[in-house]
Formats: sequence, C-alpha cells, structure tokens
Amino acid sequence: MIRPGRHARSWFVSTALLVIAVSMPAIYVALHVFGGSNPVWDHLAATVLTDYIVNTFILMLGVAVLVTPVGVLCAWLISAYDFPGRAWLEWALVLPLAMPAYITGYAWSGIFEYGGPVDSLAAFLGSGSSLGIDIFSVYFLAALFAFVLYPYVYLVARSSFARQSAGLIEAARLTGAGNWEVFRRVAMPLARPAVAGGLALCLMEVLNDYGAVKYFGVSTFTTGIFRAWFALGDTGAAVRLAAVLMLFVFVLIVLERRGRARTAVSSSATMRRQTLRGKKALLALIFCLVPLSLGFVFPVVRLLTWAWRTASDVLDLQFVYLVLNSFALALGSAVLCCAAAILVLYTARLQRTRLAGFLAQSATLGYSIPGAVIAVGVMTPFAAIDHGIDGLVQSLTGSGTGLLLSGTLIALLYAYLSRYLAVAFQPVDAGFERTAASMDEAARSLGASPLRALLQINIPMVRTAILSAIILVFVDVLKELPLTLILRPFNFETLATRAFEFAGNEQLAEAANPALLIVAVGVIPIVYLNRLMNAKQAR
Amino acid sequence: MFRRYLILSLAIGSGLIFFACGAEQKEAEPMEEAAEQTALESGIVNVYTHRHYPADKELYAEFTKQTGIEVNVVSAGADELIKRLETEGDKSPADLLITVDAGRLHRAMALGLLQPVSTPTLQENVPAHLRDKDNNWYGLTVRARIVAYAPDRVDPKKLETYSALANKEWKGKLLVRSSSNVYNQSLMAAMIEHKGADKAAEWAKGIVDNMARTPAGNDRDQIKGIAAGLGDIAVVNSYYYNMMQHSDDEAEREAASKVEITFPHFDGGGIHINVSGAGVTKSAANAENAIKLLEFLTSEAAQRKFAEANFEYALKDDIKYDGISLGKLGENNEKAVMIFDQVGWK
Repeated sequence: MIRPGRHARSWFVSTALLVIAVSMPAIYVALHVFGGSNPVWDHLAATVLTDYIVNTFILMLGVAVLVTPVGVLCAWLISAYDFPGRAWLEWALVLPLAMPAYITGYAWSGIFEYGGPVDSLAAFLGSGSSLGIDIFSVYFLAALFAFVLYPYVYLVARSSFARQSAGLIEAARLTGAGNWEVFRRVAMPLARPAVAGGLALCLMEVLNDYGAVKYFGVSTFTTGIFRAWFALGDTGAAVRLAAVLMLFVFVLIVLERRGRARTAVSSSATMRRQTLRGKKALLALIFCLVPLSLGFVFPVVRLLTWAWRTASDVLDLQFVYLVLNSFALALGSAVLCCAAAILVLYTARLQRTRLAGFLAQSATLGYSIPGAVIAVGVMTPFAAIDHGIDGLVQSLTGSGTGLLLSGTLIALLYAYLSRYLAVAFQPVDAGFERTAASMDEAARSLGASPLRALLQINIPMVRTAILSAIILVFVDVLKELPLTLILRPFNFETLATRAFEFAGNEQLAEAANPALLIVAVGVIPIVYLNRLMNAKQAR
Repeated sequence: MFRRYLILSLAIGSGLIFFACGAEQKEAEPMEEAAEQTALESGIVNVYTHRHYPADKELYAEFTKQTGIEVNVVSAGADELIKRLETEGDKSPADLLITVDAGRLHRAMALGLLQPVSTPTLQENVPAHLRDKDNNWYGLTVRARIVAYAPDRVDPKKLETYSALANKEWKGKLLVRSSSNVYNQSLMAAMIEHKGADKAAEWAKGIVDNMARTPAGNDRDQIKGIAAGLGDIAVVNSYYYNMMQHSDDEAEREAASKVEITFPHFDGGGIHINVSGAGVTKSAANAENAIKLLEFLTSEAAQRKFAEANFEYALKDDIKYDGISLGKLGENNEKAVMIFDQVGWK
C-alpha cells in the first residue's frame, strides 16, 4: 500500500473543510441539544411526544416492510426472467421517483374524494351513494410512501443482481439449484448491503417529509419540530427533536454500514434470463404492475384529469421559464453534490483512517433533517457572514454592502449540498467499493498523482454510479420544496414552488399542472439512467 | 474515451451551474443597483408574502402599471418568512411582510420586525378593529371561520354558537383539520379570550370527543367529507365553501350543493374573524413604496378584486364580528397550541 503522502494530505484538508461546511446546519442543530430543561420541551414530552414516536415508528416499519419485498422482488423478476412487458417495466418501475410524496398524497385523496373516480365507479356499478372512504390514516400514508419510495430499493437491488452477483448466480444455477433457491441463498444475501442502503434512503425520506404527513394529519417528529419552532417559538425544543431524529438516522447508517462490510464481490458475468410463459408470465407482469400503478399510474392519471380541466387557465409562457429554471437548478446542484461526494469518498479511500471515514459519514447527516430546519441552519451562518462583511466594509468605507450571500442562489445551492450529499453518496460509495482499490494503488505506484488516478482510473470505472448519483439528486432537487421556498431570491420560481402556491390555496386541480411538469422533467433522466445501466450490462 | 466523455459532462454540468448563477447574478445586479437608487427615486418594493393567489399577482402587476414601482416577491409560509426576516435582521431586503393571519403579524411585531406607519389613506381604508392599534400592521382581507353542515341531517338552529360544537349530540360527527393549522389556532385563541383558558380547554376537549376522524386534510376536504357522509358538521373558512360553489369541477360544485353554511357566534358575541394583512418591516429600505403598495391593496378597487376572485370579505364589509382585538389572536397563540396538545387535538 502506498503511504499517504503530501498529496493525500491536501485531499484530506479540502475534504475536511468541505465536510465542516456541509455539516454546518447539522452542527447547528446538534449544538442546541445540550440546552437545559425548558417548559416547551417538558410540555411536548408530557403531551404529544409519545404520539410522534409511535407514528414515526409505524411509518418507518410500514415502509420498510412493504418497500423491501416489493423493491427486491421486482428487481429479481426483471433481472432473472423474461416475460411480456419486461423491457419497458424495467425502466417504468423507477418512475414513482419523479413524484413528490405530498403530490401523490393529494392525488390519492383526489381519487377517493367525494365525486372522485372511486365514487363514480361505485355509482356506475350501482351502489348509489358515496362510499365515504377515508384515506387519511397513518397506515394508508405508510403504504403511500412505500409505493413512491420503493424504486430506491429496486434500483440498487437490480444493479446488484446485474453486476455483483451475476457470476455467482450463474454458478449456483449450474449446480442445478432452482431459481427460488438461487434467489434465497445467493442473490438475496449478496444484495443485502445494497438493499440496506436503498432502504436507509427510503426511511430518511420518510423521516424528513413534512408535506404529506401534514396533509394526512399524521403527527411525526417533523410535525413536532415545526410546532415547537414556529407555533411555540422555542428553537431549543425544536432542535432537540431534530437531534432525536438525527439519532434515528445515525442508527440507520450504522446498520447499513455493518451490513455492507461483508461484501466485496464484483463480477463481469451477466445473468441469463429465463423465459416465463403462460400463467407464470402473467403473474410476474401483474406483480410488477401493482407498485407501478399505485405509485405512479393512478396518481398521474388523477393529476391529468385535473390538469385537463385547468391547463388553459394556468399554463402560460411563464411555464417555459419555470421548466428551464427548475432544470438548471436541479442539474447544477446534482453535479455539485456528486463532485463533493467523489471528493469526500476518494479522500476516505486515500486515507483509510477512521477520521476520514467519520468525516465521510458526517457529511450525510443533513439528509435526515427536515428541510425547513436545514434552511434555518443555512440562513443563520450566512446572515452572520453577511453582517460581518457589511460591518467591516461599513467601518472602512462608510457605506455597507447589505446582504451579499443571503437570499442568493449560492445560499440555495449550499443548502442543497448539505441536504442531498447523502443521496449522491450512496451510489458513488457503492461504486467505489465495487472497484478494487489495488487498481488505483497500482496507478499511483507508477507515479500518477491521486488526482490523475481519480480522473483516469476511478471515475471511469464508476461512471455509471456517478451518473446514477447525478440523476438521483437531480430528481430530488426537482421535487424539493421547503429549502427552495424559503431560501430563494426574489421572483425566483420553480415548478415545485408554483405547485406549492396552488396547493397552499387549496387549488389542487391547478397545482396538478406544475406537478405533472415536475414528473415529466424527472422522467427523462430516469429513462436515460436505465438506458445507461443496460448499455453497461450489455457490454 | 469514457474519461473524456465524463470529464466533458462534468465540465458541461459545472458550466451550467456557473451559467445559472451568472445569469442570476446578472439579473440581480441591476436589481441591487436599482435598490440603491430607490432610496432616491422609488423604483421597487420587496415583498415577503404568504398570500400567493393569482389575484394578488394581478394586483401587483396593476400596481406596477399605475405607479412604475416594481414589486419583487418571495412567497412562502409566514412562519418561515418571519424566521428569514429575523435572521436577516436590519439588513433584510424585505419591505413588506404579508401573512394570512393576524396572529403571525402580531408575532412579527412582537419580535420587533415591523415598524409603525400611518397615513390618512390607510386610516381611512382600514377600519380600526382590523389593524394594529399602534399601526404596525394593517388588515388586507377579512375571513370568517364558520360551520358547514349537512342540511338533510342537521338542524342549523343547534349550531348558533361555537360552544354548541362541543355538545354531546355531535359525537362522531364533527370534521375539522389539524391543530397545526393557523386558522384553528386563531379560533382557539379567540375562544381563550372570550371564555378563559380553562373553559376553552373544556370546549376543545368536547370538540376532540366529537371528531368523526383524526384531523386531516384541508378545509375543502372537510366539506367534501360532509358530502361523502363521513361527518355531519365541519369547521371551515367561509371562502373555501364559496370557491367550491363556483368551482369549474362539477364534483366540487355537487359536493358544495349538499352542504350549507351557518355563521355561529361566541355566545351572543359575534363571528370569529381573522385577517390576512401586511406590515412594513423595520429594515425596509423602500418604506415609502411599501406604504404605497399597502394603500393600493386596501383601496376600493383592490378590495373588490379580493372579494370577487377569492370570496374573501372586503375590509369595509359589514360583518358582525366578535369584537376582540385581532392582536389577541397572536398573544394567545402559544396557549392555544398548548391546549390543543393537552386535549389531544392532533
């Protein structure tokens, strides 16, 4: 192994600086944990905290229980079998990722509402009156989250089946093991760490959601954070709740790490797909269609019926600007997050020290914190810096600069980086782990600098992982609401903020227009991602 | 080959960021210059608003047309906007804060974020009970939180007061949204003002016992809930009912047609009203323009627009309101939220 030299040290320093900068909001949150007892905290603990914990737990458990089998089995069916519809299901199964969870919530409530499609169907079938189905429950919400979030698990499981375990799966098949046996004893154990990673992402999304839980009236930690912070005006209590939430996530990350430590299989083999016929093919098709329909098709159709009615009132030329704005913002921040993830992870690889590993982990904490809290964590230091500069310039020249950074795109991009680094992290990390470290050590022993080894050896080897990371962050930023809403500059609008404005006015039918455009813009890279993964497999 | 491809895409990506930032910067710079000039020439007004109705945007455009003053907007939730204002401090670019609830305006005032302004026009446009007594904020539109009911199952005579909502006869029949919602918080704050905290808590407990379901959804969902038979009565803001009546969605119109509304009072007092309103920020660099915008939004023409487009009440509409100072809604807000938690109003 090469001794970490001068180069490695500069990598370490830049990573350390980046990580400190990025985890600033999280640090800001953590610093507030150690306040003494205060009345608001005591009040929350005595009245609603149990409720928050129970609901949060039900949601997480429900999502985990649904998402894992749905994501993994769909991935297995797509990877191991051929059946009618497989080719397009392969990419279509990822589509729910493009749906913001709260929009899906609105759409489902629209499906079951008075006079909605379900009622109309019932009336058509002769039930006469409204069914009066009430979907506002924690269980329904857990299912809703699951069918929006399962693609995270599906994606990682599929890529694991396709690459890491294909050789071993083929070998197992040669021993005469049946497909189910192969799945249970070879493919699933090999995919487990990747699945754990995908599941961790799903659960973090659940933890930091605010829009959907609020609409469904399910009080979770996020509800509590908002209540303590805004309604009761107690930052300390709010942040302490956020810290408890971070603890949840920390446990998730540790569990995920522990699962991953055991695997380091990579293989160049590709799996042969068995052709299914008749009943079995139909069953496979139906199994894959269920999550796709619940997470994407039904809600999108509901949105379409709304948009159909309102488009002429809502859509105007300004939407071109909204689309371009959203697209540029999402792409820019995705590339930024991905570059940062590469820097941090590559340093961890160069250094292989606990400290570097710890730095890498701390960089991802922001994902667990609800957006509005991050926003405050971003505003506070930026405002402090701005006031500092302003004061300094004022004392030197006699006229101040005003706020230079606050309320600019720089603050917004920084907030995205804090929040979504974790999303870029997962695929890039998994990609790095798949490639043998010996390769780039060999390059460096031949005299290549770490930068050259990174650019010429590592990045090309994990380029699919990098592109998946870019696309995942892209889609996330496209949907993002609380950060964009509060940190944006004057007159700066995106599709998500426009959807929020309509939804805030309870104009869901009008909100369907920007919401559908979010989906449309998000679908393009998702389909592209799939092409990319297939091209890689084919070679 | 792949390396080149990747580097290229990274380069394009980062190029795009700079392009995006650069483009924004370019847009921003003249704006900042403009901001410098405005102190002399009055060119812009910067607004933080929680009102994002299409009607508002049209009114801003009309204002710009009439005065030449450009209106710059950030719209978000009032809580977050107040936090942003607080963080930005005396250098905040915002000139005017608009919220949909007097309680939030009161909080902004209590945090020292607003400044008193007064002109004869404002005093004339905004009746005394719809503005802060020290002129830190002014109401823009009036909303009433009222009761919707199913006429085929409910006798409205039994719903003459807010207190009646807690009567046992409505057990399992009442629909209302979450206590996180500011309109509910303000209703509760008013109840505390009228009856005292203990009686108000008792009332809230009665409401919780009567709930047909755990609070969820928005105000329109409560009205649809009545139409669907999930409950018989609901607490909603009146304009949502009117909007549903005039919706271009047939199902919404039909739902509204199965529901009627009644205006309860606080045991002989009036109806619970709230305002969406605005205050000039303490940091305002364009305070003059902010005042002009305030005067414009409270003017007869703008008021008519609010009423026609959103079914909100105009400031000068004659409503038999409950007579308490709207600032109390803010003062009692924290107490209200705590009572909600104690009685289990989710």
